[in-house]
Amino acid sequence: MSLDAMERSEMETWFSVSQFYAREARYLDDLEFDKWVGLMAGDIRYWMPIVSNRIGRDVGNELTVRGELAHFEDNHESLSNRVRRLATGRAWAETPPGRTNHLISNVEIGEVEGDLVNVRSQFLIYRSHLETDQEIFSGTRLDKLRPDQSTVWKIVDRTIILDHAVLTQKSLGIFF
Amino acid sequence: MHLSPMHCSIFPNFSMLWQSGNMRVWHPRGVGETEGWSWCFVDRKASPGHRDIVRVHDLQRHGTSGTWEQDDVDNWVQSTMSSRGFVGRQVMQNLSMGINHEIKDPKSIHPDMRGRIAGFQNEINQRNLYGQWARMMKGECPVVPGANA
Repeated sequence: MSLDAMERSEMETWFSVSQFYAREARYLDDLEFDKWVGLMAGDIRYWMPIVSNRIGRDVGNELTVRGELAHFEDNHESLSNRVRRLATGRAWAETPPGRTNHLISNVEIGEVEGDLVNVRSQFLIYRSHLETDQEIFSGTRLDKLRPDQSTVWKIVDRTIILDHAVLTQKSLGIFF
Repeated sequence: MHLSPMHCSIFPNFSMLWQSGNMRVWHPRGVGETEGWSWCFVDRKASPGHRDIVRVHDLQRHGTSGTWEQDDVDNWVQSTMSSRGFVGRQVMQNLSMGINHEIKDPKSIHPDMRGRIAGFQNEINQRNLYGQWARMMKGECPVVPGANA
């Protein structure tokens, strides 16, 4: 299969990206965080803006913008540090780790910009922790992917938009 | 400014982590539930680059995905749960950490310093939260050092 995104048919791209996302989700659910970071491009921008409630004329301003506060604002180095922290065994909120199920769906291939493919996907992540703590995360991922010789794709830019304003979950100790 | 580790509170529900540029408002939402709102503050005179470093430093450590914050919240949730047990309910809460190590004169630390202060490992914030609340429940005027008539 050609790695040139422009030459590939839309169906081939969709299939390849969907398989990539399934593998990425498996790495997270199986706690293989080193492999997960290996799917991030060196210039990854990983960002989860904060969602607020807006009414009236303010509808449309629910999300914080870049340069304001966010739930996540990471690059390759900080994501790698997060993974190294988890490996110490002293990341108490994840010791023991939660059990997650990253369900990725509604994959839509968008525009191609140079060597980047825009992709939108939806997620529902179930997590249980300790005896009976349970939480669900729901949201959208807007990705820019770049073809890669070794990992098929790499994630260059990820914007995660949660379907939650106030977080009733304990914290965001997992990856999205 | 951001090198001095300090955690402080202003009655009734405002707190700061000075070293991170983090400030919080705590909204009680019922028994055993509190909603926290978190902001980042920066020196007004800081350059845009400095502001950005502080902002990202704060959100990566004390934001919702914060590498420090995750563990803190887990502790608070678990200690709340464990205080509900039969034995937990019979134990008085001990907030005496550092009770003999409070600093008598805040201005000995800095001329602008206000309030009641102590060294870093101290439950002075918690003692004064309940102390002020107890005084107000008795109908007494809030005690504000330097401001009471």
